[in-house]
Amino acid sequence: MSMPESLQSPAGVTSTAGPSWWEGLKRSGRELTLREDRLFLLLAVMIGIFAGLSVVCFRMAIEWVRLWLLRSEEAPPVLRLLLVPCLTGLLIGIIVKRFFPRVRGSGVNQTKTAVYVSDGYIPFHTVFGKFFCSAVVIGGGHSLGPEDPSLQIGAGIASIIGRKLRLSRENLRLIAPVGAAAGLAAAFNAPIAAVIFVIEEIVGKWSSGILGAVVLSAVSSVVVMRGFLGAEPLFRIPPFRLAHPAELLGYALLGVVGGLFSLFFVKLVANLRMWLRKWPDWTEYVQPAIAGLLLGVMGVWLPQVLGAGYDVMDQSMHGRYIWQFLAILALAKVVATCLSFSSGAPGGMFAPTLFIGAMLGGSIGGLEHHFFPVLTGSVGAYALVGMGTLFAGFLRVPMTSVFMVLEVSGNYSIILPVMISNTIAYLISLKYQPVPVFDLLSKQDGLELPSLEEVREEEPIRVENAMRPVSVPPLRAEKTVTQVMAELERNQQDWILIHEKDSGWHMVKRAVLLEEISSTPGHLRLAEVFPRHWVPTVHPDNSLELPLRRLGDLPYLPVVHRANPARLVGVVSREDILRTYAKMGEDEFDLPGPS
Amino acid sequence: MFLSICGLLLIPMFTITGVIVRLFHEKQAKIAQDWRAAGEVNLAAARSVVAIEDFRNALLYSPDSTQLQLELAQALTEQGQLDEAQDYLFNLRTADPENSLINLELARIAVRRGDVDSATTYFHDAMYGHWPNNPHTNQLTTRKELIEFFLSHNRRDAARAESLSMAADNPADPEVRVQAADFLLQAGDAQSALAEYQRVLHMEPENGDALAGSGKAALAVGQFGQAERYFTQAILRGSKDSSVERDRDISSEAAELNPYDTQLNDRERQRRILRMLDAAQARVTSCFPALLEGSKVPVPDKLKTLATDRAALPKQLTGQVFAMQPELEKTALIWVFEVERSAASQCGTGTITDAAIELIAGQHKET
Repeated sequence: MSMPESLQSPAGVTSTAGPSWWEGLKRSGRELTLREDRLFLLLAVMIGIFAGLSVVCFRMAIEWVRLWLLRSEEAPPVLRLLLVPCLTGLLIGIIVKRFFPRVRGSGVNQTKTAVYVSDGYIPFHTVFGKFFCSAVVIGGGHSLGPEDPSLQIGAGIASIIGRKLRLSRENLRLIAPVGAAAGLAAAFNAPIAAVIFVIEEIVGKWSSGILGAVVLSAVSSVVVMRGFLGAEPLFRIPPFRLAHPAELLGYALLGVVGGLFSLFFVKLVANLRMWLRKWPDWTEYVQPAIAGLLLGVMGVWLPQVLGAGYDVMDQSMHGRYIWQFLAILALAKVVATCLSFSSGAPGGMFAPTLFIGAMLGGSIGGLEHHFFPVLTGSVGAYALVGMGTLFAGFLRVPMTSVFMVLEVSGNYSIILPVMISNTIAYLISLKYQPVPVFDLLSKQDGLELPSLEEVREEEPIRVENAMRPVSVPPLRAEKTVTQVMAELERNQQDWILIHEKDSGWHMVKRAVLLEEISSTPGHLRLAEVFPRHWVPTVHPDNSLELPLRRLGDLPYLPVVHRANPARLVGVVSREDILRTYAKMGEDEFDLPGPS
Repeated sequence: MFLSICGLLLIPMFTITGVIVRLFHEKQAKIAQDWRAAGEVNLAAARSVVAIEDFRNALLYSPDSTQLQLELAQALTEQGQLDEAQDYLFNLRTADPENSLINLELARIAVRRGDVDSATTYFHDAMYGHWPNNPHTNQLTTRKELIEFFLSHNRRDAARAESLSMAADNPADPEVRVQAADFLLQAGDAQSALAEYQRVLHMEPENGDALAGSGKAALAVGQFGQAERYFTQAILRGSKDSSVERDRDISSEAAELNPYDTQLNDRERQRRILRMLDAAQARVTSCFPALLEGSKVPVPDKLKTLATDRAALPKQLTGQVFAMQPELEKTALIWVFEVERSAASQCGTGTITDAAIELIAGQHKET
């Protein structure tokens, strides 16, 4: 990881003559300043703290707005239910359309766009707009969550700090995910899940440099958040125990239903969003208000679907609702979230996804408990697993989904049901919905952001796909000149591979080698006379990019066995590599091959 | 430089955030307190449905309050929503497994479910756990609740063991020891009960409740004369137990009727048996007219044994008959006891004499 120039600049200051202690102090300062990696990590901590503070304020803002607009009851008065979501929708529709067009949507795609399109640039007014608009919308009862906006707010803060420090373009791209992880970790109170989500969905690769910074920022933001709001999880975690090994079948059923429900959710969001986009431009002012009115009507009968719904999730895990009602809530929340999200109201999909998963899990658990009371554990455990299932199926972040449940529950014995259910839901979603929801949304917005799921699922092209078998055995340096001369008569290649026990592989032009050894006594060993031109090697399982980078001017590279580097398993040349890539392209896109 | 400015900026940001959070927490606490107060009023007025809603609203703003969760669980239990109440309590118990209030509520839920084993465990955890205040009084109250639970589920041995512990744990408290003896009596251990009452009387010879209890225990073990003396003293000491006078009369009558008294001569024993036969005959007249001689009412199946047994006895039973056929004494007593038992179950309480005969019959179940 390179370091921003601004951080290095103090070292570049030309020193003037002065007292020796002053010079020493300045030299020490320069040394300290130049330790780039440590300063980057310090920056990550700073971003984490700012993001943590912002997320705390953001959550407070949501709560104040809710208290002010919907009062303190669990089920607000009917008149408020009908008016508040509608009027907040109207207000936010106007504000978003007029002043903050970039705050529409969840925040995940906007952050990805910033990283991959705008070199990590997120303007301050977007951060402010996201904060204000999301707080009003979520506090006003729209069925959206605070996590994705927190992610964008965190990324925005990191971007602002990065720009003020005049970081390089590369580092600005890196710093936004660092802030995103901090924002998400503070919103979720789950640093591990946040780190994995950002790596899985935004960064897309595991490199030690970015990982260290992301972890530090996530941890520091969570520490700040817990300092203000306490360390309690978002909901009370029910006790988990597997009542019977056969219960795993129940969790598998939850995976199947969760996968199908995720598909339904994705299709509904995508189609409704596309349909609303076809409406005239001016309707964008009123779409959130219409969604709010419909939500308010739903809220008269089902006030549980309003807002993020963490308290409802908590109660569903502790047996407050019967399974039929939980199923109704799951379905109603899908509709409510689709309305809110598709209308362009700024807010996240994480909390609704967790909500739907909890309700679905609870209803499946309740249903199974009804028919097989001895074989089924607590409904709360199903609700918890259901959250991860929807996360895996809808958001398509399989690792995050597993770690999120583990981290939130703090119970590692739940891992088996979580993995079974999540995997099934993920595979069903993958099979019937090839494009993940975030990629689908960015495509609808006309953006071609890199699909990190595609990267994950991509079959790597390896050296073994391109290498050729060895037609002539290489020369061994311990042989005598006479033996080598005899072998050279059989080996008419221009470039000769020689292996020496101590120094490895070398490559010499045939003519040069012949010239060197022709006047040498035959009993001498080749090692004593041959001109050494060391060549790098590759292994069959290496990515095909590696030999491309290592070839340089060499005609080919030796491919050697990992357990025995003296054993040549093949060679790979630039032509072999290009031919392989060309063939892969033909297979992938069904292109016509060379005649 | 910018990093230093950021560092400095953190100070006001922390301060502002702290103020915002503090204001919010104060507001939350106020809302939670208001809802809680409303919930407590509604719970006290037995409006548990409204109370539940109030407590739920309060919990939205004070989600970590153990007391609030406990009150919600109580309201839910009262409303019969046992699953949810139990979940709340399990959650609380995970955090504080020795909290007696939580364990007591769990025990009450187990009682509602008839789960004797769980109830016993939770009652014990409550008794020996941590009470926020008045641990001794609360432990005692909980133990009484447990004993009553055992008695209601016919777990007499367990009730007896808890009653003995209750007495042993409160050696200097006559009131508690009388209660323990009452429980022992209800658990069927009249001997231990009598011993416990007598220990109380040793401490307080004029304790009216202990005297009345001793009388009942003495009656239960068949010491009718002693029972009469205890009851008489209890009346003199102004016992508040309204049944004492009747108990004294019964014990007096039982002492006069008891044919099993070893100090009786044959004539007196026969006289008592004849008195009991007269009483039984009167009971038959009032309760089972179908058994009377010449009755045209058909004898019900369940009374046929009584009719057969009476037919096996001579029509006229006198002292001379018993003197000539002593084995008839036992047959006559069997019939008398059967009549009194059947009449008690079908016609309810009879006269003092009937009650005395029943008591004697209870002492001689093999007859």
